[in-house]
Amino acid sequence: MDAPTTLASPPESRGLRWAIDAVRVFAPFAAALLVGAIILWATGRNAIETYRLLAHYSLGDWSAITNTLADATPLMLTGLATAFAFRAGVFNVGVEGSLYLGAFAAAWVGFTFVHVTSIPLIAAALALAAVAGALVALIPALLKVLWSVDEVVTTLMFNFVVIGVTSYLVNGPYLSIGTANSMSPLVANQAELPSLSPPSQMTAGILIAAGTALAFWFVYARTTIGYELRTVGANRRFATASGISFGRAILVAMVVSGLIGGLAGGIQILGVNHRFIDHFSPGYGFTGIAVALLGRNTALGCVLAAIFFGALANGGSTVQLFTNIPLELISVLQGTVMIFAVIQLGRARGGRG
Amino acid sequence: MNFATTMSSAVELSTPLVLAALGGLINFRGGIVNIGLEGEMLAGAFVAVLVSWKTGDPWLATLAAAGAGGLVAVPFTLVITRLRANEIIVGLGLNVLVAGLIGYLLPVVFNVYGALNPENLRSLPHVRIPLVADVPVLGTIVSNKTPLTYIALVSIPLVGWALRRTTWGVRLRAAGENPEAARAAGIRPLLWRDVSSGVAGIFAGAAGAQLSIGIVSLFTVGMTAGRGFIALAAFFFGAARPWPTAAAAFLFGLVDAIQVRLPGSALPPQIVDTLPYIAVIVALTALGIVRTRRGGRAGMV
Amino acid sequence: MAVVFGLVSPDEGTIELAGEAIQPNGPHDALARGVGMVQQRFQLLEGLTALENLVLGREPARGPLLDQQAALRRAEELASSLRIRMPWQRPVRLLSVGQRQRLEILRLLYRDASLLILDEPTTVLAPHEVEDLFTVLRRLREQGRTVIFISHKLREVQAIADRVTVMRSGRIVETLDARALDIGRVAELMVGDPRFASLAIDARPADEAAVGGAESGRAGGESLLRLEDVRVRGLVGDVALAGIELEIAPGEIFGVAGVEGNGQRELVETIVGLRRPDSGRVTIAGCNVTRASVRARRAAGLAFISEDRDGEGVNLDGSIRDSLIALRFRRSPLSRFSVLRFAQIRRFVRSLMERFGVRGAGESATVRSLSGGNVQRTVLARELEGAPRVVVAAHPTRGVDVRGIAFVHEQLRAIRDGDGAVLLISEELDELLALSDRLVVLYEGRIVGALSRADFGDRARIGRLIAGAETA
Repeated sequence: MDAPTTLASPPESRGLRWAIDAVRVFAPFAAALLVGAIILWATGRNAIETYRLLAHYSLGDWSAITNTLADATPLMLTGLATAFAFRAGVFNVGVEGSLYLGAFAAAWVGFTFVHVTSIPLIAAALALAAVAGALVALIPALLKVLWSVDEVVTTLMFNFVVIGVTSYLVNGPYLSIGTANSMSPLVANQAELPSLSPPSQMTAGILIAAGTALAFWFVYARTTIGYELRTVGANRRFATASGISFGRAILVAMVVSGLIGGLAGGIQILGVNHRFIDHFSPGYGFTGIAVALLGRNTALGCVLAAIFFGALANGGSTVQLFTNIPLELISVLQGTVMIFAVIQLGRARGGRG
Repeated sequence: MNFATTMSSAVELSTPLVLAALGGLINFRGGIVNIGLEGEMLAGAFVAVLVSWKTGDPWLATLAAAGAGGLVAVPFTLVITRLRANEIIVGLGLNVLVAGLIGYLLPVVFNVYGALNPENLRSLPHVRIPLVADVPVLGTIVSNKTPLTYIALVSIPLVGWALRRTTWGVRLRAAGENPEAARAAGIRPLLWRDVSSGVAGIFAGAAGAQLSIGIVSLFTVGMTAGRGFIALAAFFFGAARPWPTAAAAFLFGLVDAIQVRLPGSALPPQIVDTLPYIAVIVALTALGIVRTRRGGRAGMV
Repeated sequence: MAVVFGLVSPDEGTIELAGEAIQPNGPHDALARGVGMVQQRFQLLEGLTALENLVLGREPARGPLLDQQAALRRAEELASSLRIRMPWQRPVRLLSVGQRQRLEILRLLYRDASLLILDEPTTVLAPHEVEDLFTVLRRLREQGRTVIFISHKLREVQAIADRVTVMRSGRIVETLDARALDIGRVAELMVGDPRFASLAIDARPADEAAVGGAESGRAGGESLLRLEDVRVRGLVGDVALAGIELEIAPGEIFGVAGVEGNGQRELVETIVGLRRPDSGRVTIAGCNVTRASVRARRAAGLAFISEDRDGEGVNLDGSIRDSLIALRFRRSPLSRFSVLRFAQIRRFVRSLMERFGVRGAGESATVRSLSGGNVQRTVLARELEGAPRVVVAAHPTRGVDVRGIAFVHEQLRAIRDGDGAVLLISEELDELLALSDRLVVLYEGRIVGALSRADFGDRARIGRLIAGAETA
């Protein structure tokens, strides 16, 4: 004999909350499109036509879609990396650094162990990339656990440290002779991630990213450690009083965040650049923050937000080729999204906003 | 490597850092960590070249640059204080937005790409200080700099004085430290936070002018090269006090000046570039250690 | 007093100041009308100097410049009127607590406050500083100002007040002339709550409770909770707990009476594991847990009903389910190999909600959507579900309706009847008297009285202990 199902919260307040949530998700988009439109209009361009072209070149046909997904791949991973930490209440803005070190590590494996066969080589490269990314995040994590050093500033600063170190490495000991720019040697042929749909640059990386999103969801929704992380992120005092270790949660959140960030770098190198190039990232890690925020720190949200930003990037670069609208317009949209995504939230740390 | 010329170069190179760091300091005392200094500086650099080109007046251009920085700061601060948005993200977003906007305007409005380098651009004059200029060594270091350098120098004690000795300074500090207590005393904390941001923007804009029409004579999109973040590092390292902050900023400028002149073996430039950031991390860690030793509660349970 | 100072709006009624009706809409407004309050948490700006704090908002100025001399002159004037010395140029963070308090008072004078309210001012002061404060208060009186001194410490009230008003549960009970103060009578007026009068005192006869007196341990069974010489220092270096010794045996509800702020929170934190004591030992069911984590103590059989229900007792924005599984999620059957098992969780949560009568929303709804009483039921459900051996219950019926109170009491009694131990901390004396087998009074970090059920009839004495008018 079952107990009668108890009522969920009254319908009208549920509807209202849904409406508020919907506004929260769409407001940054709308604001970005509006700001972009104003700028286009103010400089004598047709906003509607521009947006139409953007949509067409990003999602209009299969070739466009694959390129969009290719551009979305690193963003999906950096977004997931950032969101993983944010949801646990840890404000990791250092994914860019994890990305760089991971990229370098993958490149190093790729051009050093040239006689290893394809699958083990790729696996090793990505594994080392992930570990490298985790190491980058580990130091600020330890500083926070041991001495309560606020992670925002340390992770932010660390980005620049890592970028500088990898820049030194690629301009010095690992410089590929005979090339114009500061680049490492090419990775071995068998280390490259082949395109899934030539000539686009969409590789198996998108599958890895999708798999990571799935794993992210699973961890947070279905595992005990996920429960600990989101409880710490939602209410630290409650978590502590219930016996959940705050220090452990920080370490796990940061290390996993770094792992994913490093993986993002590795995939980008093996799939697209095929070598480590100085300052190769146009801010994937920082855009990942926008992805995480827009996606409300959820797996599905990050995937969708990453595709959105990927569409902007892909569409924008194609639009630039065929019209005289520069790619930098996309940065305007991205920046606006970032700003509007944190309005009224007060603090963007953890939880579903 | 000539000591005098190196120091002279250091003074010139650290001027934008000092200005931006002082601005960041004021903003910080007012209660906001301004990550957007980079964007405000870039806006200032761009506007300085633009206005100097169009009007031929570098002084007007400098004022316009400061104004541009302040203008950019307005949405930055309002979104933070009135819409309670997270200041770090807003700052990062602002940098992206400003860089994007300028990068867009260059080809669309001016038909150039990546840089704005008008012919016969009037840049800021280098002022020769009579008497001092003839002193050996010291003369080279101190004299023959743009007015902004001297303004920056004067600003160091001025900022400290303003924060301590004016009613505005006291109110700004109160608003930054404890808005609730400030409100109880009849002050409007949000207003003062916005004011501190505006002032920071003005300083950062002026710093940009020093970059584009002071040190060199053109605008490039990557011109600020992380200086906004280095300025941040400077005032963190200087514990938000004017003289230590300026000293840190000068130190970073000195490192910049030296490294160009080194034969290249000592320390690679890229590593040297990371020193300010490492310095901040070390400083914050030291602070954390001290605080933890003094504290009593269970810490990270 | 929060109403008078404008921190809270009254629902009904009027306030008259010097014959004029007022309704301050904030501290600043209240101050403008001459009403000032020194709250328990000082409203000073630590980075600013004492002088800057004094004049903030009404700075004497010459143009943009702060007129330091004029400010200093006025500051010295005010200070000397109360014969206080204040290092005006020193930043507040370097001032002692006593100095900060005097600065707060001077701030009110600077704004010409005619009515000053001090909320429990001596809680943070060392004994010699209390006398300094009283001297200042007497001088304020000489100046013709009115001081409302809120305190639960009768000795002090007797020393300083002209008139005394006793309040209880939001009502004024009586106003007495302080010069002819009968401490016993005041103590009696202070304690008790009509709400609890209807709850029958526990029917168990005294001898059946088999209490061996407050000092000695119980004859049968080792103690479940034991504190030995526990000392804790507070944030400002003051003494929060000064050598606490207590022992609770199985099958016992051990009550701790006293006004909040006398070390209750520190006591709770030390037992639960949120704080390490500076010295002393905490033992749960025979295990030394002094340095152990919260999780280890939970494993030893500890349950915790926090007085901060919304902030610490539940995850307000999470689901009810999430707040219910917080102690059990790691173990079978709720999870296996670190993966949560939803079917099992659903069963667990449903049965728990039914057993503890959590009503008003489904398991997936947020805790926020529940009423206060139901939130407390959620807390009890989570904490008491696994038949804990030691339950620390801090103000468990605060903000709970009458039915909910009865439920809480029922649950605590059930723990006791199952040979568990309950540490009950409450400000409601009737609740303590109804539930406790033994009772102590916590005053200024010390246990000042230990009573067995036989002593419970002497409410006046208990009142005196709570008010610090007697050390048993």
